Amino acid sequence: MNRPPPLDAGVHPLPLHISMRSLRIGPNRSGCLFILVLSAMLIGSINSKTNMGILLTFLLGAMGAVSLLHSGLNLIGIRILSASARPVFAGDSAVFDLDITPGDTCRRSIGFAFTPEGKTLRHLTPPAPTRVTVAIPTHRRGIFRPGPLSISTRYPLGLFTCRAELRPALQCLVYPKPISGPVPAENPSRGADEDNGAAQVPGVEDFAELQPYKPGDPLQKLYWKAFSRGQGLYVKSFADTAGGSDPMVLDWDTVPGADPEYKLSRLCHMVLQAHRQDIVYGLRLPGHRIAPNRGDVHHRVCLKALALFGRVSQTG
Amino acid sequence: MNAESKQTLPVVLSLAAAAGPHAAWLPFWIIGWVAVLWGYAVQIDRRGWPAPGPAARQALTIAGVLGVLLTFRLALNREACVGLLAVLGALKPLEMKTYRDRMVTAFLAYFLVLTHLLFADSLGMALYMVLVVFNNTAVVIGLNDPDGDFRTHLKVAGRIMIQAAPLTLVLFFLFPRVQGSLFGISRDSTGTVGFAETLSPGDITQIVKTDAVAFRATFHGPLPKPDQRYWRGVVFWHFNGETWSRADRIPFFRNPPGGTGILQYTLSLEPHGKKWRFALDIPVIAPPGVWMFDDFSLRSRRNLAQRTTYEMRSSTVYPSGPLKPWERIALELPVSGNPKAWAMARKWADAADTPESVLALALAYFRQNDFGYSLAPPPLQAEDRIDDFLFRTRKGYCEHFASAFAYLMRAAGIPARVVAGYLGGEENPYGNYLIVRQSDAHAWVEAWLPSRGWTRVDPTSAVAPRRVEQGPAAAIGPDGRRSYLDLPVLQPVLDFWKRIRLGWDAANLYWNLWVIGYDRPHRSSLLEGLATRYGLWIGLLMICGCLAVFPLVARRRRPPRAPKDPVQQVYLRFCRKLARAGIPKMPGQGPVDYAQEVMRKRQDLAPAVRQITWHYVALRYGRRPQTGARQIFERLVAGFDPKSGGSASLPGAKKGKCPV
Repeated sequence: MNRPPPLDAGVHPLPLHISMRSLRIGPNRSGCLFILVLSAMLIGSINSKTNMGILLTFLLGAMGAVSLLHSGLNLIGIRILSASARPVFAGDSAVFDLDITPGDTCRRSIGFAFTPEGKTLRHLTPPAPTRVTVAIPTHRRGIFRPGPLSISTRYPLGLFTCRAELRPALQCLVYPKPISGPVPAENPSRGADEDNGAAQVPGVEDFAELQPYKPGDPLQKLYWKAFSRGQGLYVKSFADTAGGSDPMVLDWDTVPGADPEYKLSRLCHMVLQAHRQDIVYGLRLPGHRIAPNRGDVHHRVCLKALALFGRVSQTG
Repeated sequence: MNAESKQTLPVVLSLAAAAGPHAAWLPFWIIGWVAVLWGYAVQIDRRGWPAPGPAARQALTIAGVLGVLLTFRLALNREACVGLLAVLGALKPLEMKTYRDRMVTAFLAYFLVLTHLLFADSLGMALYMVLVVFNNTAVVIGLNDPDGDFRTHLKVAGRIMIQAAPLTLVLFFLFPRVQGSLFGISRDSTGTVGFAETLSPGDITQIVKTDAVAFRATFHGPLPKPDQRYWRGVVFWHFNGETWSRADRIPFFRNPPGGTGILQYTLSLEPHGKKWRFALDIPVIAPPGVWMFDDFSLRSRRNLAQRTTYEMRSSTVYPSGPLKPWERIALELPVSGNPKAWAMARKWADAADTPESVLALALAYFRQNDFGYSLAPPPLQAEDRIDDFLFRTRKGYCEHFASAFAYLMRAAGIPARVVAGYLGGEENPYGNYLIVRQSDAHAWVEAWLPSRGWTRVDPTSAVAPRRVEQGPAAAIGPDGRRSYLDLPVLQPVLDFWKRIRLGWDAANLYWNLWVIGYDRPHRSSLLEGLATRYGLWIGLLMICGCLAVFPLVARRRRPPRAPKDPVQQVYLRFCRKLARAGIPKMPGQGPVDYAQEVMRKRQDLAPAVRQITWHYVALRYGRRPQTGARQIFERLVAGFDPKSGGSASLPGAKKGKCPV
């Protein structure tokens, strides 16, 4: 059940453009009402032998037909150049940034959507590409591949909805949803082979010593009290990070609970906490371990490992 | 305030533009109602005034409907319907919260345009209609593109309308027309200016003064000369001493003996609410749906409630032949009254030896006895009207002269009848046609002479010759009707204005001929004309059009066509063989993947499948296929048999490295 959705045969690599074949055009609710109004007008005109009424009705009808062509031409030729999405946590919306060029002509009121609710209306003006942001909610961790991207317009008259469903190869990394909970009381790295040290609990306030501030040290560890006393800039240095003797390892096995997804969510929360406090931490998952480290890159590597744990055949 | 909520104002303005002309006749309370509610709706958006809830809207709806019903006294006519539409249309903008509401309101504006067309169908109204549609379309575009500016929307709306024009015209001219109406409800009569069913001097005074157009006649050849522009309408046979009326039973016109000086023209008759049709003296053929009587009067079956256009053919020289027995009623006179006129006519009859000379005596009498043409003649006394006119007032217009002259003829024993119609017509240089107005109404006499049959005699022309040449205004004379507009300084301006007026009139006429009057006969004649003249071209165009459209349609409907590549066809044959063996190729599966799947499932086929796939990949995707590789590939596939465990190793088949 944890397998990611396979790459469909219909998914196309970018860049991708809207061709005439991919268009679907049909009257929408307003269009149906319009047709109804026109029918009433035609019947009334015929009945009262008002040729001008017939003329008016046909003028409006022909305008509707012409607007259909305009709608189609409003879409044909739109090209998706590239797409990117930042990783998100499960339950949040994956936000895809699409770079889209309109071709030679101006495109008015183009809707981009993965789901009917999350529609983004944009105008595209040549020649520069426009960045369109389309969001879609995620539910599960892993590699998220959104369904077809629906590009639609009802411009100019709103009588017909013209829609093209493109299936660009898009994906977004989804981290587990972080769940806070009690911190494991025991040493998380109890089973570790080499690092048998004192219990290190993330978030402890006591620190070993103060070190002079060096550029690059995280600001949240500045010792403000000393600074306010005019003693200069110092950085709180925690025992575990400063000593480097016992780096904390967040271990799958120490997290209580039977549900692996829950465990991943807890670990995700811990990783976030550790990163926020700039602690050196490692991660151990069944069959996978990440050496203790700190920093943004390490943080992302850990989260990605959590996101992809148990998922096969993905390259990120 | 987002862009969407600013859209109430344009929608309301568009509605107002669409409904505007109705303000001319709608009751004041409806106009006020509409103005207040629309203003309030705009303020809801602009100032954030509270929007009325459903209960308030329902109360307003009920109040409005009741008001309309009471105002129009429960009548369900055109006016009441438009009033109802206005009252309810005023409520609609109050609940314009969503895109959909605004779209519905914009459609209401389109519908409102139609309601005007029920009242007036002039060219001016058509232009107005186009403008409102243009504006409203721009508003609709604005609803669908809230961030754009209105000028761009107008531009797009204009482009759409221009692009829609050809299709509109084709649809309009080719759309089948029905004879009669669908549900038997027809338009109300709009004819307000009627032509008198009877003639008693004094009645036409009213008509003489109106400049309203009676009809327009477009000639296919040259226009008739001014003295031939007698437009025949009603023929009066009976005279009771004060009123002329038409005969009850006149036979239908049967045998057309033909005439000379035939003129062909199209007459576009304004609605007058009666059955009379007009034609240049003397019509020889009745248009379809119109009866022609033996006195050359034309009468349609229904009252003319709308503008009617018909083809006519008239003869300027027409010998009517001997007096028919029924025509003897043209000699009848009341037994008593008008003794002096009677005596004078009898005296002429005794003195003259031929009817022609009696006629000449009568005309000379009118010419010599100080008769005057006047549009406001003194009233005639109730008794002996003819005597009173001939011997006392001597002031009158066509009716007086015609009536008195016909009386004198009958008294002298010459059959005579009074014909009412029009005389004259304004030439329009922008089209080969005459505009005949109600002020051109005229009456003259026809007398039967043994030598010439029925002969037109116009006693008015004996009194006021300019009436024939230049119309009633000229006949009145220089001090008749004069206004400050006659100043010579203003003459160029007046001429210019006249040209504009005539140009506009011409545009209106062609509009009426081609759009308003376009009906079933017109359509069939247009189609016939097109078919006979351009049938070949139209056919060719249609065939070309179909040929042009066909590939588009065909490409969409048909499944992907078989590949032309022979290598691929051979490969597909191979795939079909495998499919029969139970391993079909999936749509997205590449040849190598497929081969792997086959080999996994059928170990025994592996060598053959590997060979064939390798050849196929090499032939299709390789850069330079070896010579003869295709033949080998074909033979391999031909010999491939999934049942027997693949093909035998073929001579020349290379055991090369396989990409599989």
